[in-house]
Amino acid sequence: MRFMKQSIMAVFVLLFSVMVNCNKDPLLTDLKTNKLIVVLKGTYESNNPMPWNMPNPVTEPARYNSEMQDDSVYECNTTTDPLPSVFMIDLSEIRLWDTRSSSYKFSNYRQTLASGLNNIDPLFNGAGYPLVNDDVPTRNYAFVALYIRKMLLNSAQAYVARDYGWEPSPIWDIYAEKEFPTYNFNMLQVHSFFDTLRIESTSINRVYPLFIPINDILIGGVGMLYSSDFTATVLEIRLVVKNYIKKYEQKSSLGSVYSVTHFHGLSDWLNDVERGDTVIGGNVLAVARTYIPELVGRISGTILPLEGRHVIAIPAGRDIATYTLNVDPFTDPTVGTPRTYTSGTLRSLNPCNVLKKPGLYTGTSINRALEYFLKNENYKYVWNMKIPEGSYLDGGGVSRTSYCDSYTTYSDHWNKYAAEVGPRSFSLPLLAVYAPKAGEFSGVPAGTYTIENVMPGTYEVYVANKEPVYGQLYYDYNASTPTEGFTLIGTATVSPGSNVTPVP
Amino acid sequence: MKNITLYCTVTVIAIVLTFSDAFAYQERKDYFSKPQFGGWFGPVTPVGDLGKRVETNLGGGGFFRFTFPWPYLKIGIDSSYQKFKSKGVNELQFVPVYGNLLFQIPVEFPVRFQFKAGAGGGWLSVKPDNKSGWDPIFMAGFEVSFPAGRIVNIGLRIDYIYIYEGYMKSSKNGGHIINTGIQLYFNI
Repeated sequence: MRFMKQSIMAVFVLLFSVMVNCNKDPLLTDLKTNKLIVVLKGTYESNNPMPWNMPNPVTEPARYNSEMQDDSVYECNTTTDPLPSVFMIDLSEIRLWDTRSSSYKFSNYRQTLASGLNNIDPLFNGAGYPLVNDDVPTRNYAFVALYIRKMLLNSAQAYVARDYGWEPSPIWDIYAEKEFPTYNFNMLQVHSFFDTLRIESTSINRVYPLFIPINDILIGGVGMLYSSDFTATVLEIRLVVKNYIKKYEQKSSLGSVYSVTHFHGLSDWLNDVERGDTVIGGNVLAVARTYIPELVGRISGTILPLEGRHVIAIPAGRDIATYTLNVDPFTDPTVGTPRTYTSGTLRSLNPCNVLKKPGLYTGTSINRALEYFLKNENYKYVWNMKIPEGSYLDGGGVSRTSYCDSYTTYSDHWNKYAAEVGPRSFSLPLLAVYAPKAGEFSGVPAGTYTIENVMPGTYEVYVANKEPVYGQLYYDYNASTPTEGFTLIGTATVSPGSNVTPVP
Repeated sequence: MKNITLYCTVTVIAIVLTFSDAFAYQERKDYFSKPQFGGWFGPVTPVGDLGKRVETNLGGGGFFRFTFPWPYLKIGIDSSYQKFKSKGVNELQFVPVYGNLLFQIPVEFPVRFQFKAGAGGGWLSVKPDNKSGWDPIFMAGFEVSFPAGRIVNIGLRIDYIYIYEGYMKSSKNGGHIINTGIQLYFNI
């Protein structure tokens, strides 16, 4: 009986103590609600993206051939492939890496997103898709990693050589456990051409995961300072997809039937894909930035009389050259005049860009065997022409002397190439918008721009020196050619809630 | 072969002698009315909204019980430790401390069926927000226990615990947890 009284007393004391010490925060609601909002966009711009400008193969064949069709399309280049209309992405998870390099599985949810290639779809209209995720501890984060299982585009065709010509048939693949007439180009994004030259290429995977530095942390940014004290923090991840899709060709290596595959993938502007390449990797360009909606301001202004240009804002003091690709890193004494885009891509200008040895053909088809021998002869010819020293024609038809005279030079030149396309040398601007031409956006006057959701700070605002070219971003060549890249408009100091116009 | 038979026989006789009370349930009722203490372990399962955030794990706890003058009613104090993890970053640690009343179905049967209901407090700690604190909780449950001698009882239990956060303005949901377990407790 005494025990029982004691225990009843204990229960009352316990209840009283609970009532006194109760929570001020609903913990279970905290567990459920997200203060970290992840938004995925498929545009170069952070808001107000440029409308789709995909060249039509029928009405604009010249532009289609130069901008949409990659130079890897050469075996079967007379056919007209339909334009892609749907982009699908299959994410198995997203992780965040903090500055002490521990990772957080904050979005361990498989997500599949299919987007129409139009100006209304959230992936392409500047709004972005919110992804499913949980919160992370209050900390400083350096990287976000997207585990991309698949990326697919439709309108891929397999062509079989017949007596009467190329016979097309659509290619099917699986997206979200169902079959669609699509092609998973993500599998070819695993390696870039540069990766295949390296001994450790088997351990390289560029898309699973795709590491994206947050807020330019590799070039002096601060990363993501996440604190649960703010009601919301937005992590914006942008993959460049809009106006950045190209058509590629690959030779099928299966069977004895002579066939090629035409498929669409992301543009090879950064890591050029050449004829006969089996990979298209290194071309998933991504940028991640964070902002706290309570603190943001905006930068607005006009670039008149210019219109139809990109306007970018970078933190003051940052080197603008980081946001453009340098195509002239290789010292070549024969180059007297500055290079331009017609001189060639970064890869084709590399004096050590020689053909890879074609894979040995062991099948029984006489045609394929003869083709292999021809390729092998061509490989030896190209190799002998460039190495140890020789002259070759660059993309512009100018004769140049090769200086790939040793394996040391070979590795130096390719390491230089890798450094130029690497994230410390080239990164996408955190803030970019498109200032439209007259009538391009209803309600937006020509040449005006508004950069939304800008965190407080001082920014330098630049305008592009040329109109955007489909499938390309921005180059700089060398200092004597200021026509490429960007020109400074002015400096803007943003405070929370302000709307600032850059001051020259 | 002979040896095995011998060992088996001795073991069975030993068990029968030791647990002779199991065959005399009417005597045992008095033992069951003594103060009791014990422990349990088993799967703890978050359900509903909470179940989408964290996953089932193993948990366990202990309890004391005292019988009222009416032998079919007991009062108990119960506590346990439950840690729910997830595949991602979410984690919930939960330590409920509550009092409960147990009602035994008044049927003369060696196996005892008890219903219970109670209230108390629960300490919660959530990740990734790294916050912790106390919340009121309510519970209801059901137990089946088997006698294993004068002192030992073996039981199965299923408890439902509701974590109440509705008294806070910004709260959107409470928590629902189901504990099931095997328990061992002693009459002292």
